This record gives sequence, structure tokens and C-alpha cells, in this order.
Amino acid sequence: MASTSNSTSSKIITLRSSDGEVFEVEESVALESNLIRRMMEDDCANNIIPLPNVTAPIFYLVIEHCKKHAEMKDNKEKKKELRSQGEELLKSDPHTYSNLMEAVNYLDIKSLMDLTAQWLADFLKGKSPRLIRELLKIKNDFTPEEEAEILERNRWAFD
Amino acid sequence: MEPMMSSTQLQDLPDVILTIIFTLVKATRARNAMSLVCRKWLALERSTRTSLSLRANVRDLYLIPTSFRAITHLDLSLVSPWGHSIILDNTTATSTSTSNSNSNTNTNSNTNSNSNSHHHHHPPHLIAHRFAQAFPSLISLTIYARTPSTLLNLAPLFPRLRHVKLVRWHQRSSAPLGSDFVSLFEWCPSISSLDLSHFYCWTEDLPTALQAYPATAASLTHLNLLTLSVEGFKSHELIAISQACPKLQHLLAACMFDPRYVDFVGDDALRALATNCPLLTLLHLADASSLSGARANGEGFAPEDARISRLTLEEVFGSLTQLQELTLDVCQNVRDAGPALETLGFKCPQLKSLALGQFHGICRAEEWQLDGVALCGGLVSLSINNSGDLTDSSLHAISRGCQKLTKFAIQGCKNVTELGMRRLTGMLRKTLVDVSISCCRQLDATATLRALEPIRDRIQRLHMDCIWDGLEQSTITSCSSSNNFSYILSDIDLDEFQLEELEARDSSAANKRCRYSGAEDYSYSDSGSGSGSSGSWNNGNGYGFWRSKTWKRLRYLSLWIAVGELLSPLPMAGLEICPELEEVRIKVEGDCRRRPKPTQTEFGLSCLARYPRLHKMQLDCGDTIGYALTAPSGHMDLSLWERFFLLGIKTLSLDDLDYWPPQDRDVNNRSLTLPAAGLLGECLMLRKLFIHGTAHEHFLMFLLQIPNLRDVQLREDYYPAPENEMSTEMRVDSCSRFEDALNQRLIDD
Repeated sequence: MASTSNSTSSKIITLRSSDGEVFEVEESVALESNLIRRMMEDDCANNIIPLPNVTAPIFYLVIEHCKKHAEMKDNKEKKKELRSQGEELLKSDPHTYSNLMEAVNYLDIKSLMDLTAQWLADFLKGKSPRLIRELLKIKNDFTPEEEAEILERNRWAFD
Repeated sequence: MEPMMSSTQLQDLPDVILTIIFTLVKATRARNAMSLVCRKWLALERSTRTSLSLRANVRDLYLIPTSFRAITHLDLSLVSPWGHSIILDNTTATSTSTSNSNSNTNTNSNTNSNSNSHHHHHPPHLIAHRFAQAFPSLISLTIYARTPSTLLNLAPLFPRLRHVKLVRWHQRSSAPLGSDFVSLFEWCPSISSLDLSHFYCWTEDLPTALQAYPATAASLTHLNLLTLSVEGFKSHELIAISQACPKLQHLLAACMFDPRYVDFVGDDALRALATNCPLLTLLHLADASSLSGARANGEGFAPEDARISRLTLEEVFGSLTQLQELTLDVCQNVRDAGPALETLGFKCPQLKSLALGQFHGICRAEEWQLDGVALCGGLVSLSINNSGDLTDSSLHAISRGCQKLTKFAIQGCKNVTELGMRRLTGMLRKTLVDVSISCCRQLDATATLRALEPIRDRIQRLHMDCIWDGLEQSTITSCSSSNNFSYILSDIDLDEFQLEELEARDSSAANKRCRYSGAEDYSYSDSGSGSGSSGSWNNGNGYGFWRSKTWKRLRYLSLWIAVGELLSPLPMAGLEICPELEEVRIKVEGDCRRRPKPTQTEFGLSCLARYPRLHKMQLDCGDTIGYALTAPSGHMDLSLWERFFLLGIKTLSLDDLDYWPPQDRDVNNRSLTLPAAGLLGECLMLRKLFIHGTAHEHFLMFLLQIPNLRDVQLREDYYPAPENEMSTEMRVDSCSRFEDALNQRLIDD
């Protein structure tokens, strides 16, 4: 196994997104995804691997970030840069973010999951509930009484 | 609001994903906000919140919400009024008063509990049960255990506790030896870590309790006994603890190393410890006197020698091969420590962190061969206190030998000069981000900052002393900058010989040498460019060329300053631009009673306003001593001193402040005075304020004018905490009134 992966570092894997677009990806990048790795290990990946849950634009994003992530492995500056990109994406397009999250989860890419999860975690820091709802387009389903009750409970924690 | 799709998208993410994300959020404030976003978020937030510092008045504890079900780490030590027993056990209170063997203390707490009995009509076990209900998954607990009854009530309900931290600054009750720990060891057999670093008890207490519960003791892996207020564990106690706890991995203990006392810790105790606890990865033994925070005398050598032989040290290091962190601060001379430290480096390859106090000869650097501590090449953190014969060459050897150092602290080493430090920071430029320099006679503020020049753009944390000698000298000797430099250059001349040797082997040092010998021209050429804006040039020359230099990554700054000195020269000394500086700690120390009135009305906090990101401060005047009430003529009392310290604090946009008021030791008084309350009340951005002392209720009311203030607490976390609540300002009622007023204001998260 090790010997094959060594010699095929530039092997190309073909993947097809849910909307039919075909991607050619280097094996080393594709193997970041545990889903694809499992499929290849189970030998059900001889031809084109279908990814029924991922659309083309999102898959493009995933690949892009996988590449970036591989590049910056020991580059702290770049790591920081990548970490700060989340704020922008979340502000401008929370919809894409959720799709990206779902795709990353489906493809089971650990490194990217850590990064994208951290994006939202960072994003939430220092924002009021109202602002969070507004930016992430979440509907407030609390009654005013419930809200008051939660406020009351939150008071039990030193911040 | 257009596309309906995206309005629900983030909500539709599966819980698994959101849980991963939510777990990453640690800050309570962010969590509180998240819980208010929508129902789904509320549920997920609560299920991922694992740690909680309970903010509550002891009066309301029975109302504790059961919504924080996932909490595994609970801190109950901050319930207000601070230091009040959470569970007032009426039965023990009455029994002590009837037995009549009690001291004043007990009667007082008893009357207190009676007078407040309307708050505590819930029997203690009910409150304990309420806790058990609210926090079913608890494994870690921090609690103020003023009397054994607190744990007596709580411990049986949390049999799965693994980590316990006890807090007590009040005097120990007259209970029998070990009774503070008995219920804990009895009911929580899986306890693996016990932290008594903020718990006042007797040194005899713990060994007694450990011996009574051998099975529980044997499973302990972490023990922190760095209790500030004890005289230190004696030899036989340390041995008893090590015998009872063979599985210890972390041991921190305040010890009595002074050989003038009976049963001091010496060779025998250290040997026994190493044999009995071979799994130790962290060992921290410090003489109790080193924990009081007193500054080194700067001499380096203590009057007495410790009874710790080189052979013992070598044997100890030979047994403890798993060591990763080691602190030995013995406060007595350990001479010729070099060879022992070589053994340490050889036998303990995983050693990452080393702190030594009063060790001499740790690195002689007499030959080209590295020696002593310089052979501990894996070190990431090194701290050297009071090493009387540490020289610049030692530092150079250390920087050659320990190339992974990210943290370096040096205290009370009189032979170390600016040049030596500067060479070290230059050599370690790639890794070093945390430096602490204090009590070094030849490193005042300006010299310290100059010595850090090579890592100015990298350093993140810094401690230094605000000693302005160098600064004054250079301001006084206005244009004769050559004085300053000839001083530095003469030092270089002394080192020339070594430097030449260096050149052959170490090209980077050679480069440095060129830089130094060019220092004079360097400064003048810079002064030339500086004279373009000649108005500012007249500030002086010695530091002139540091102008507009940026400490790009400095986030945390800690300062020591003698009472009566001013803070304002700080930027001039070299810390001009710190764009990332978030937190400052200032420790003011000294005896006001001997000081005349300061020449200025203001200490100079406002000079910190130039750091744009600064929002957090610890202002510690706790070791400042003065007259609380009346001062002799010509002297200021503490209210005027507090005014002096705090003037200008409103110009900083602090949101988080810890303040230790100065004290009058004669009456054990650390109380906020009127001017202080007024000045703190003007800090309009404050959100958290912790005063480590007492305050009158009506002074606290000043603070209510701060619009965003959320958490305020008086913490009497010093020994001995005032015992009798009736006579101080810290009464349950006044504290409750203030908190009610505070809580009435609406804060949106």
C-alpha cells in the first residue's frame, strides 16, 4: 500500500459532483477525504467516483482549501491568513459556508473540518445575539418571555 | 431577507457539525450570546458547555438552574459574598457554640448565620442535593471550603469527582488534623488530582489524611501544595506524602529548605521523594519564603547553604527520568550545580521546562565546551533566579546549548549586562517570545528594552522592572550621548577577547560584533535622521534612536515599580508603539510610610492610553504598605496614595480590571477608599471588576454609574482574610443589595 501511494503521488482521480461536473484531482489531495480513501480502499473507485451530495461550486471550494491547507502545513503566517478568511465568507455568504460545512462533513476531511469549524467559532466571538441572527440569517424563534428566562440563567456564569 | 433557502441553511446543518463548532467556543460571553440566538442553538450551546464559574449570591443558591446539564468543570469558589460558606451547616455551628470550646471566630460565624437565617431556611443537604441535580456529570470542582462541613455535605453527592481544588484564605478552624480532607477521600475514591495552592491549612493536615485513606491516596496523580501561607512542608511530611502517593505525576509543594530549622528538607527528603514517586513528570519544590512574592535582594547569594549535595541531585535526576518540568527554588545556596545539571540533561531527555532558584555555578562557560545547564538542549522554558555567578558568557553558552527556548526568565543576577542579554536574544531570535527580566542590577528599564532589540518584532510577553536610572542619566546629560555609549562600548571591549573567539565558530555572533562596534555611528546617523523632526529630539539621546520602533507582537506586559516612582517614562524608555498590547500587569511595591509625597499628582496610568488595544489590566498595589486612616504630617494616607495610583485610569478603555488596594498591615486592612471608588467609577468601559480587598457598600454604589458593568466582586484572597463579616464591609446584605442593583440593569447577552 505504502509503495503504491509513493509511486502514484501524481496519480489523478476523477470525481463527479451531484450536478454532473467532472473533476480531476491529484490523488494526494483526494486522499485528504476519508470518504474517498475508504471508497478507494474498498476498490469501488476504479472509474469515476460519484459524489451525490456535493455540487460543483462547493466542491471547487473544498479542493481549493485542501490545496491551501496542504501548502501551509508549516507556515504559520499562512495559517493565520487562512483562519481569518472565515470572517469574510460568513459575513458575505453564510449560505455557501453551510454548504461547504456539509460537504466537508460528508467527505470527512478532518483538517478542513477543523479549519471551517474554527471559522464560525471565531466569528461568533464578541457578537451580540441579534447581530449573529442578522448576519447568519437565523430566525428568532424565542418568545420574549423565553428570552428573558435565558438571560436570567446566563447571569449565573461569570464571563 | 430575499432567498428563503439561505434563511434556514445554517440552521439546517446537522447537529453533529454544529456540536463540533460549538465545542470550540470557550468564552462565556460568546456562549451566552449563542444561547440566545434560537432554540436549536440554545439546546446545542447547553449540551456543549462543560465549564462554569458560578456567579451567584449565597442567598439564591437554591434557585440554581438545572439547564447546565453538561457541566463537568464547576467553580463554586466565587460565589458571593466571597469566602462565605456555601453550605452553612447549622448543626456544626450550634454544636461548636454549645461545646463552648470555640474561639471568637466560631461565635461570630454562628451569630452571622443566625442573623441571616432567613436566607438559609433551606437545610444544607437540600442545597447540596440541588447541586447534585443541577450538575450530574461533574468531574472537576473548585470550592471555597471554609470549614470541613462544606465537603461533608457535598462530597457524598459527587462520588465521581476526579479533580478538586480547594480554596480558603480564612484561618483554619480548630478541627482535628486532616479533617478538611476526610470527607473528600472518604466519598470520592476516584479523585486523582488535588489542588491546595489557594487553600490555607497546616502542613500536618494532608499527610494525616492521606495515611488514613491509603487506597485513595495511592491513586492520586496530581498534587499541588504550593500553598502561599504555610511555612512549608517539613522533611518527614514530604516523605510521608511521597510514600502515600506512589503514582504521583505532578507534585508541587512549598517546602522548608532552611537548614536552621528542625526537620528541614534536605538530602534525605529529596532522595525518598525520587525513589517513592518514579513517575513524576512535573516536580516543583519551592521554599515557602520564595512564594511570598518578595523581590530578590539582587546579591545572588543567600546567607546560608542548602543541605542538598551534588550527589543527591544526581541521584534524584537519575531516578526521575520522566521529568518534563522541574522547578527547584530552594532560597539557600546550592553551589557548583553545573555537573548535577549536566546529569539532569543527560538522564531526563524529555525535560522541557526548568526553573532554578539560588543555584550557583550552573554554567561556568569557561571553555568552549558547553557545560552545566547549557547541556539541557531540549529546554523550551528556562528561569534562573538569584544565580550569583551567572555571567554574560554563561548566557551565551545557554543560548548556544538551548536553542529551543521560547521562554526565558532571569531574576536577581547581578553580573548579567545588557550586552549579554542582547546577545542571548539575538541568538535565540527565531524562538524566543516570552522574556522576564527583574532585579538585575545592570538591567534597568532602558537597558532591558535595548537588550530585547533583536526580538522586538517577535516578543509576545514581557516582564521588566520600571527602574528609570538609565533614562534619567541620559536625560540629564543632555547632549553628551557619548557617555552612554562609551559605557556600553567599554563593556564590549571587555568582551572583545571572547567575541574574537566566537567569530571563528559562530558567524552570527560575528555579525553582531560588527553591529556593536558600529553602534556609535549607528546612533549618530539615526540622530541625524531624527533631527529632521528635531523638536522631539531633545528628549535625550541615549534612547533617541529607539524612536518610533514598534513592538509588533507584544500582547502582554508585566511591570514592577517601586512605590512613589512614576510610570510615565515607560514609552520614553523604549516601549513606544505596541499595536497588539492587550493586557498589562503592574505591581507596585514598597512602604509608603517612608516615602515623601510624590512630586507629581499622578502615577501615570494615562501613559498607557497610547496602546490602542489595551483592555485588560491587573493593578496590584497589594504589597504597598501605608497608613489606612491617619498619617503623620508630611505623609499621605492611603486614600491619597490610591488617588495618586488611579488618577488617569479613565483614559484607558479597560473592560477588565483586577485591582489590589494598598494595605495597612498593622490593622490588616485592604479597603477601597473614597477617591479610589470615585476614580474606578469613571472607567466607563469596564465590564469586569475584581477588587482584592474590601469596600464599603456606599463606595460600591459609585460603580453603578458604569453602564456595561456586569461582574463585580470583592475577593479577599489574601491571608488571613478578615474573619468577622459583621465588622467589615463584606456583609451578605450589603453585598446582595449591590448585586441586585447591578443585576437590574439590562445587558443584552
